[in-house]
This record gives sequence, structure tokens and C-alpha cells, in this order.
Amino acid sequence: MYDIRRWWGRNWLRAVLAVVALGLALGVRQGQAGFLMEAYRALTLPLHLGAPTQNDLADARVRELQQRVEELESRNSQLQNLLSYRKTLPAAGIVAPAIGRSADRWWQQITLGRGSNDGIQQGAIVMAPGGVVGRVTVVTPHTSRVLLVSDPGSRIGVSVARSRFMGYLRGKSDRTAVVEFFDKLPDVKPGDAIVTSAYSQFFPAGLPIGRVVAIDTKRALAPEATIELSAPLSTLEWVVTLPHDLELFRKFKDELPTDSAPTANPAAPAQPTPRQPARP
Amino acid sequence: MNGLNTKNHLRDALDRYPLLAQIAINAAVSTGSLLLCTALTPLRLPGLELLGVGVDWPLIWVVSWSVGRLWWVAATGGTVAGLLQDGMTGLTPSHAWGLALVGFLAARLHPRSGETAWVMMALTTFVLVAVSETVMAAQFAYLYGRDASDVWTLHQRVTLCSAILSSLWSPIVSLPLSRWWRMMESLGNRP
Repeated sequence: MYDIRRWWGRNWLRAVLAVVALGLALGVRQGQAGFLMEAYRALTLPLHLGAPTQNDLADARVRELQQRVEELESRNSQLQNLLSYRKTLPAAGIVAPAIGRSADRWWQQITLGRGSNDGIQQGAIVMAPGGVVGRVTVVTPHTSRVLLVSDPGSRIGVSVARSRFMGYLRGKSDRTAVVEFFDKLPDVKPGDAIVTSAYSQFFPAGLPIGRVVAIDTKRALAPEATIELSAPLSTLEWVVTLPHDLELFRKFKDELPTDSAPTANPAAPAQPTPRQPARP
Repeated sequence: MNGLNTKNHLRDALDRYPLLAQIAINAAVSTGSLLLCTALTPLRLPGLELLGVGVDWPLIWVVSWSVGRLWWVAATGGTVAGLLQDGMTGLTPSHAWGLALVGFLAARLHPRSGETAWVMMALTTFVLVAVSETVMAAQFAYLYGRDASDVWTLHQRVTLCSAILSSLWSPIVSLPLSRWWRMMESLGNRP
């Protein structure tokens, strides 16, 4: 008892300060360090970039358009319901500069120089010339934090644009990612475009993500495909954020099974099929 | 010479304040430097980045903080820095475990707050980056279900790049801070 009292007599200020510091730090942590992100933006304001030139974006945009065309052709050939397709099209986006990278070595994140004051909401989809970049996880008045698709923790439901086989994508912390398929024998080959699938929880369907570069069929459970992400994640300067209305998307997801089942809703999918042979 | 003079002026000026004001100023400098180190972590400039890996500013701050302090004060500083960094990235896994261990080890490696050569500080930083990254990697691989082989491959790259960069940049944080804390200590103020 005497020892404790003597220790307290010598260390009470340190102990009190330690408790206060821990409490404050815990508060900052639970609040996602919003004011630190704002401070970062204010401190680095002179370093922020000007608008990109058209030439910089042209190459990546061509790649994105090629993948989009592939995706659209595939959709057309399946005579997808026009209504549900329209819901997957991007709405008007907010352009935001990337002002910072991840705050440690393990997370694949970027910080955007625009936030809730400019209309960006948590869960917004982030796109760049090339395809999907990630989604917004934290928003402050002037900044927002984006979890990139290359982060090993961001698992995204994807499908092969050509054959519609589904799987999920796992980042590898660099320009490549791995897709694990649900089927044992998926129809996939190098060069296939990979897009977000209708069953992705965080992204609307049909957004281009990357292209298959290699396939490992020797795996026991399900084959894996290595894909190259098409958005230039390591050199991002400007991105577009699209609002992601989760309510709308959940409704869309609920409608999907009834659309594809032949008995539940025969009008929508069945109608176009007999028309096709009649056309020529 | 000039630097020495200003330092003495600063010390004399501070000496005129009551002890409580000195403690407040010292606390402001300590927390301010930590917040600055945490807030600037997303910054990547040429020279601050190697293969996409940046400098570990919070760890450099924790090492400078811990030199010559009681082990539990050092570990508390590490925990606070780790919690702040959690806020800047994601809540799990926590950086606090690794940085608390770093604080503890740094306090044990340099128990006296005398003049620690900056080369020794840089070397300590190099080794302790490996400790902190290993704690993070172990959490990812065994507690949060990441693919273990992926994690350890990334761990090699991350540790090497971060250790090189952080030890090279460590004097920029640790020299002024350790000088400041030594000065406060000479005034009899050492939380």
C-alpha cells in the first residue's frame, strides 16, 4: 500500500496525462480522425494539382471504352431488361482531386480533396478513366477517404463480361488482383474483361474493373484468375465519384431473381426473344 | 552558434513562466508534433516514397518520445499514436499494439535521455519498423483472415522500404523533438 502511495506521489501527473491522452486518442480513432484529414488538406493545399489535360486521359479512356463496349455487347446479346439496365448506368458524377495516399503501408486508400460540402456521401462509387477505383468509406466536410479495389480487404463481386461467370475479386496491394470463381469450370480466358456483378454489395453492376492476364486452373476448390486493374491506381490524380443509392440497388437486387425465373415474370424477358427471328 | 543562442534565449524565456505553464507548453508541443506526424501520413512526395510505401512518421515520433522515458509512459505514447493512426486508416487491425511495443522497446534500448547520436536513433528506427510491421502483419494474417502468404509477401516489401525510408528521415523529427524535451528536462519538467 505504501509502495502504491509513493508511486502515485511521484507519478500522479504522468498517470493522469496518460489516461487523458489515451481517452482523447480513442475518441479521435472512433471519429475516424476527421479533423486530421481536414488538417492534412489545409497543410498540403499549395501542392494540389491543376486540372488534367485531355491527352493524359486519352489512353486510359480508350481502354475503358473498349471494355464498356464489350460489356454492352454482352448485355445486348442477353436481351437484358431495359429498366434494370438503366439503373446500372452511372448518374452525374462529382470530380474530385486525389490529394493523398494511404496513411500507412497496409491499407490501399486515397484521400480526395472534396467531401460532404460538395455532395459526396459515404458509400459513393469512385471511378477514374479506366474503370472502378474504389468506394468512399469516410467523409469529412472537405475530404473523403476511398478504399481502393486493390486493397486485400475490399472484396467485390465480379463477373466475366463475355460469359457472365461470377466470382469475387481480392486485391493484391498492387496493380493486379485475383478473381476466385464460384464455378469449378468457368468459361474465362486471358483478355476477358472483368466487370462488377449484379450481386456486388457495394457497386452497381457492369462497371469495368480490369482484364484477365492469367488463369490458374490447378487450384483444388475453384480456379483463380489474375487480372490487371484497368484504372491507374498508383498514379491517380483526378477521379469521379458517383452516388450509390443503396436502397435503390437493394430493390434492384430483389427484382433480379424474378426477372430471370421463367414463371415469375414471363412478360419482360420472354417478349424480346420471339421478336428476334421475326426481324429479318 | 546562432542556433545555440536562440535555444538559450528560448530556455531563459521559458524559465520565467510558472511550472504549470511550462507543462502546458510542453504538452502542446508534444501533442502538436504527434498530430502533425499523423496528419501528414497520406502525403507522398518524391523521396518520401519507395515502391508505393511511405515514411512511417508516427513510428519516428514514438521512438523520439520513448528515449529516456519510463517504459509505461513510452508505451502510452505509442498507444496514443497508434490509435490516431487507426483513425486515419481503418479501425481493425489496430496500429496501437505495434507502436506500444515500439515505445516499450525504445525506452528499454535507450534508458537515458542524454545525447543519443542520430545514427543510433536511425538504427533504432530501422529495427523497430520491422517490429511494428511484423505485429501488423501477424494481426492481418492470423486475426483478420487475410491470405497468409499474400500478407507475408507484402510484409517483406513493406518492411524493407519503410525501414529504409523511415530511418533516413528520422532525424528531421527526432533531432528537434529530443532537443526540445531535453531542454524541458533541464528546466525540471519531464512528464
